[in-house]
Amino acid sequence: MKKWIALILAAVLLLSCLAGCGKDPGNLANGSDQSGSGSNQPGKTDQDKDDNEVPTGFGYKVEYVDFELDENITYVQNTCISGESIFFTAGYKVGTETSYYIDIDGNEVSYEYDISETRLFKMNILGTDLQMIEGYIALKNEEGQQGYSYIERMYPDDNGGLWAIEQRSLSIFELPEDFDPQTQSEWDFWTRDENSIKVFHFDSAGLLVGEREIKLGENMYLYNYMLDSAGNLYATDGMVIYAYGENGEELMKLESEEYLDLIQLSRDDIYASIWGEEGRKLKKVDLQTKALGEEMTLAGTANDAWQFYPGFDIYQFLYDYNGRIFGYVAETQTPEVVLDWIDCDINSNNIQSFGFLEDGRIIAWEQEYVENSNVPKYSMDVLTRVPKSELPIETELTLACMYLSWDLRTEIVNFNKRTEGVRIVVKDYSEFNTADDYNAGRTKLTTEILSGKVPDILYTSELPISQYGGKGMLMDLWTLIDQDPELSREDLMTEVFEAMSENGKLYYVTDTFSIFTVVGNSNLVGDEIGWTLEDLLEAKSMLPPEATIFGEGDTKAGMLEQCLYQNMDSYIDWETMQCSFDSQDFIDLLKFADTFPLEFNWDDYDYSYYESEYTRLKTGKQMLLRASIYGLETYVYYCALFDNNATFIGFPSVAGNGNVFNVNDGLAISATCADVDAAWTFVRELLLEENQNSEYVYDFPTNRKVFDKMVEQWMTPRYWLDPETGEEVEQPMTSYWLDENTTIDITHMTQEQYDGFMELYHSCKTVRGYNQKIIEIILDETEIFFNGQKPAEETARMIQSRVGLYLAEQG
Amino acid sequence: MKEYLARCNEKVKSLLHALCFLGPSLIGVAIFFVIPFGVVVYYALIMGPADDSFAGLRNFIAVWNNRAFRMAVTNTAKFTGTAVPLAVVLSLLLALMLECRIPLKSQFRTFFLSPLMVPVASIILVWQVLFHYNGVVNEFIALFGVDKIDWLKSDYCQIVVILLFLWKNLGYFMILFMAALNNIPQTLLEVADVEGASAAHKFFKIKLRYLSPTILFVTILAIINSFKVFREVFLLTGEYPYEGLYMLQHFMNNMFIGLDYQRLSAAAILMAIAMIVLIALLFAIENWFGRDVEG
Repeated sequence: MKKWIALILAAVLLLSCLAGCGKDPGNLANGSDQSGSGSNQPGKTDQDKDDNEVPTGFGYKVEYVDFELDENITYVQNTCISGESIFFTAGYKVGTETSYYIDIDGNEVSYEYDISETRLFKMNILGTDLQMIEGYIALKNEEGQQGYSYIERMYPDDNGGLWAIEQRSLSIFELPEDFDPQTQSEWDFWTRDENSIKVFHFDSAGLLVGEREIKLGENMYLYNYMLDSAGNLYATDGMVIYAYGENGEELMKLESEEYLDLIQLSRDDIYASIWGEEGRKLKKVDLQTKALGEEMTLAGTANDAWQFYPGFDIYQFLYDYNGRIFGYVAETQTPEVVLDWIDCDINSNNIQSFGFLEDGRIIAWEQEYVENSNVPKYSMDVLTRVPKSELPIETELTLACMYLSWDLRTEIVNFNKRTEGVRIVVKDYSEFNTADDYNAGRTKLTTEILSGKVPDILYTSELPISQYGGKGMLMDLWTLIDQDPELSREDLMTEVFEAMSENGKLYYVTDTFSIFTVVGNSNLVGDEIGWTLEDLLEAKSMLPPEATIFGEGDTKAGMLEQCLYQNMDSYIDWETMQCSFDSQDFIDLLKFADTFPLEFNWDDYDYSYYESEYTRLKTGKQMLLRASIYGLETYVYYCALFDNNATFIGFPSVAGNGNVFNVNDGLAISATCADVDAAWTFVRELLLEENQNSEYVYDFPTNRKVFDKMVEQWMTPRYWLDPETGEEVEQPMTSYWLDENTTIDITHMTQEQYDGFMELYHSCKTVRGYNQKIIEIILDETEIFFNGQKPAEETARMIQSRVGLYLAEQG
Repeated sequence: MKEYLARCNEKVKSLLHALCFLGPSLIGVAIFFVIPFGVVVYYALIMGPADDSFAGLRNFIAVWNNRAFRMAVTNTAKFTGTAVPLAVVLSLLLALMLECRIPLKSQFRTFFLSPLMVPVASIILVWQVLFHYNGVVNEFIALFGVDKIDWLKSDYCQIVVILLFLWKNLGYFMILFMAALNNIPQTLLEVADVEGASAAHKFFKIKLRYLSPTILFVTILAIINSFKVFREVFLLTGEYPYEGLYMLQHFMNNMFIGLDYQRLSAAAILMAIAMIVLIALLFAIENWFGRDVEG
């Protein structure tokens, strides 16, 4: 008997070790399918599951239906899916107006521009049967009035019809009979403002079946308009919540002590959203008691969301967060991913609206901007939920990022759409950041990498790419560039990539760059690029003693930090991991930084003495300008600023060259990438001519052909014929306002300027960047020095010791 | 034969019973000690996180040749070599002192034990107030016309940390020695008194022999605590202190932050080997020294 008791006890002890391995009892109770397959429930409901994880086992088959709108529709504003129809408001061309300009030959040329009004439309969910709803007429300004109306929000009704909430704001003027708009302002005759809210109700055929107007007080500006299922209207001015009944009568005026917004989780769940030190708190607006309910918070990312949609099935409500649609599971009160647009090859940036149809399909309206065209490309995407086994099998390449830029999202969607057999799957680790730890996502990525779960592609923003590269985690992209049959080093602005390389290895590529430099008057600083601290001080001695080197806000620590950003390599030999912070050059740099003020507080600044940097430069009160050259326009601008006598001399440095490249975020490929060829096919697109040609790229392109085109464009002057003199005059590319009396026109780039720019470009040998750890050590050590308690030599010795230790570790 | 089989059967049963009871502990030890150590060994023997090919001794050689590692080893050895003997000797002296009939004995004991109750953060705050460049100590020595000393960033840095270590640990070690002193057979000491042995003779020939297991224990404890002083140094001076305060744990901590798990693991294994050798040596000395002491 004793033996049995002993055995049972031992078994209990052993089993107790496994106590933590069980499933959550709640999940077992609700019986949801963990794999997702075969379930009608979209997604899992296990509480333990990370709410960022897309449910496995299901995917979406997407049908993209392209459609066109009436050519007079200029831009779509608000949309609402109701039954089998989509209602939307849009600008509608109602006529044209004519204006005139004088062309290069001196002829008066007329041109027309469109006059648009807001209209309400209805069409089938597949983009057909477009119909303008005649019952809706936007506010028209009569004589002596000026105002606007805007449909703020639309709701579907239960019968496929529409509720639309319109805000109207009108200013009334009493204009005299002899009012002349050319010489007088109608605002001088303003009498009052009239604000109102209109609620329209249309049936499924688009006929107006109801309308009411709520007149607001003259100084009453409301927002966050919402309608509950009973037709009551809610709005707020930030401190008071108002509710109006079906006949426009005021039902509630609820004052709050805290600033609030309104959010609507479902049709009858309207909450006051209040931000406090501990994040967002929600309080339900109760029309019955005319009070706010108990304070509550939403779980996970739901608490950060602003766009909420009606729920369905197991979901209390849906919300939009970071390009995904989450469902808030009513039973567990936890969010889970219902849909990730990018996995369906849909660019969430382009989605006008989406909705769930009764048969479970999802409909999404995409509106894609087409470069150099006034007409966007429209498509209606119909998403049908299917088991993953029904979807084509493709190699998945994981792209890890801490932030997904607009352009990168578009690139990924386009790549996935046109490439068969391979698809990029995005994992945005910023979603793991918490209010307490903004680096939690990065820590998670790093931990995963160290445990062998290395993503195939990395978007470099906020990631320690140098560190990853140094540990052999990233591919040397030079090898891929050299093997590429269509792309070679010569096709690129090679100098930029060479500067980005570490020990000859290129860990990431980028599409744009700029140059960070310091500009001064050639008469003062000389006409050669690059100088030392000694040269700078010598040049400064030619200015009055009260002259500053840069602007007025520089401090000791700030100046040291800036000099180090450009100059770190002067004091560190990264190959031997040796540093020379105890050198006389660095001691001199410390002493130089010490000449600046310890602190500068703009709040205490007397702005009555403020002068623009241009004026200060002209009057000899300021010696130099820090400059970020991000386009040829900025280069020509700085030349013009110094009357074409500028030297882009750079920050003072030991090596005599303080000009650096500033590169933007880019893409890297991991050394363990599952399919390097496929990953390179995606990454190389960043470097291609067609992808860098966009008119909306403001920095310098890294593709040489695109750069050459940019140069050609800037070196080609444009002329117009002055009608008064009959002479051909160069047309400025752009103009800059410098101070009250001075404006400079930027004309084309001269050959001399181009040569100067290329000299500047070739003088850059490094990429602007900083080693946070080294900067921290230096600033920590200089604190006492800048307070005048330690000599520069002693401070430099201490920095040498501590930074030396850091470098020794890396070696 | 049957008897033999029955006996074997009995042994197997007994082993199974033992395993059942030992199981939870064995699983715990495996999960929290054996397997992680295995993982550390694995990490030390592969090329990198993205390349799991066998690296042989490459990581160990890289660590050994690293200037920072050598500096950390030297500093840690210097600190341990100074602080541990001081802690053992001083705590023993304190214990002997409190064994004598002196007034305020109880208060002294409480006084020496009180640092154990002070949280590390508070200790650091006090030390910063004392040894900062503008701290109390510098203010005090300035009264005598002595120039300010940057205690934590000069060659005096280890003295500051040794003082902190002793202040924090002496009380506990002293209690251990007091307990051990109480366990020395009084009859032996009385016999020695009768035979006219001097106090020194009694101490070295009787007390020290009987104290040798405690001395070993306190020494091991002091060595372990000397490695733990990293916590205080880190809070006082950060990840990259003045060279004299750069300890082995600094190296490992920074390797961890720098994602260099290979060198971190190699350094941990080298350190473990050194510790095993050191403790084995201490055991050997204790065995030799206390060989003729009963119990």
